[in-house]
Amino acid sequence: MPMSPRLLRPRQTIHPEAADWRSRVIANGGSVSGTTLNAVDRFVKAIHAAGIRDRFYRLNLFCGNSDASLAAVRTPLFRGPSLTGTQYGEATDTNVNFVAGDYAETGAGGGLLGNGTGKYLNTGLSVNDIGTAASGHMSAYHGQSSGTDVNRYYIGANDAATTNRFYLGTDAFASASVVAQYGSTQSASQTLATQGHGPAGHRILSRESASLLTHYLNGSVVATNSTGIATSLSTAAFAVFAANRNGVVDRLHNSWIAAYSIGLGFTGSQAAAYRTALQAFQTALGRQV
Amino acid sequence: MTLSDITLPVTYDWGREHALLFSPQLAQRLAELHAEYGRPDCIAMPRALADGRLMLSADILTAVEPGGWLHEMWIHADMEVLLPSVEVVPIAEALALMPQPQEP
Repeated sequence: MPMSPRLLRPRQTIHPEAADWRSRVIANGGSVSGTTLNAVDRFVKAIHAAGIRDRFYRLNLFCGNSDASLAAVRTPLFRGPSLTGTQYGEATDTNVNFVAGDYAETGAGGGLLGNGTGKYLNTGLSVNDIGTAASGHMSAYHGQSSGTDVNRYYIGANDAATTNRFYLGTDAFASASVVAQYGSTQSASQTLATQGHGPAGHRILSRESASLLTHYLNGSVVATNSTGIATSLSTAAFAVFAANRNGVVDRLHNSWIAAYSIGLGFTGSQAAAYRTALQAFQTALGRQV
Repeated sequence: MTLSDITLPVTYDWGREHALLFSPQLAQRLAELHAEYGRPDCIAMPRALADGRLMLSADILTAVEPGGWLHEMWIHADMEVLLPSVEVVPIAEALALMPQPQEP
C-alpha cells in the first residue's frame, strides 16, 4: 500500500518564541486564534532570519483574541534580547484606562485605540535596562492623531534629567513635527504641515551610535541627525500612547497603535528587514497601512 | 446628570462620547478601593481638570460589568455615595476643562 502523502509532508513547527508567547497569553487569561499564531510565528521567524532578534528588548504586536482585561493584547512577544536570557519590564503592559471596546484585532484601524485624555500603557522598561543610550530604538505602527495645539506621543520617557529625552510623537503646534529624540534634545524630527499630525504607518527611530540618529517612516528615511551626544542612561519607564516625563504621564496619543518595540539601534538594512517583517504581520491581520 | 441617572450597562460608543467628573475626595476613596479590590495590571487613573475636579472617559463603565477588570472594585463601592457624586457630561465639555497643553 502506498504511503499517504500527508505522512510525507513536513510538519510545520511553531517557533519556540511564538509558542512561548501563546503560552503566556493563555496563562494571563487570554487566547489566540490559529490564524494569529501563524502570523506571529512567521514574524518571529523573519526577525530571526534577518539576524535582528537581539535588537528587541520589548515588542508587542497587539494581537490575540479580545477579552475583558485585554490579557492577550497586553502580553508582549519579546521582553528581552533573547527568549532564554534576562527578561525586562512588566510581564504584561500595565493597562491604564483601556477597556475591551478599545481593541480590535483585525481590519483597518485595528490594534488598541487611544483617546488622548487618559489611556496609555506602562511597559516597566527603561533605557537603564537596555544598558546603553548610545544604541537604541523606539518603534510604533500607529494611526494619525488629531487636535490643535497638542502633543500626541506614541512612546516616550525622560527622567529627572529633562534633557535626556526619549520621545517619538507629534507636536501639533504652529511648527508641527513628529518629534524624534533618543538620549538628548538632538532631534531627527519630521517636519509637518502647520497644525498637522504624523501620518499613519510604521515609524522607527534608531540611534545607531552617539552621532547618528535616523527616523524612518514606512521604510523611508524622513530625518537624520549626526550631531554627537554625550549619552546617559535613564531610569524612566517607557509609556506607550504617551510620554512618561519623570513620573508625569501626559502628551497622550488619540489614535490607534498596532505594534510597538523598544531596544537597541538598527542599521539601515536592519530597519528595512524589521519593516518588511512587521508589514507582513499587519497585512496578515488586515490592518496594514 | 449623575451616574444615578444612568442605566447600566452602557455601550462602548456611548461611553466614548461622555466623561465622568468627580471630586479629589471621591477619587481618593476609589483609589483605596482599587488598592483593596483592583488588579495591579489594570488601573483606572483619572486626569485632573483645570477646575480641580477629576475626569475619566465614561467607557470605563464597560469594565465594571461582571468579568470586567473593574467589577470587583465596583461591587464593593458604596453606591449611595458613589452614584450621585459622579457627574456625567458630554466628552467635549470635559475636554474644554483640560489643562492647556505645553509647547515641546
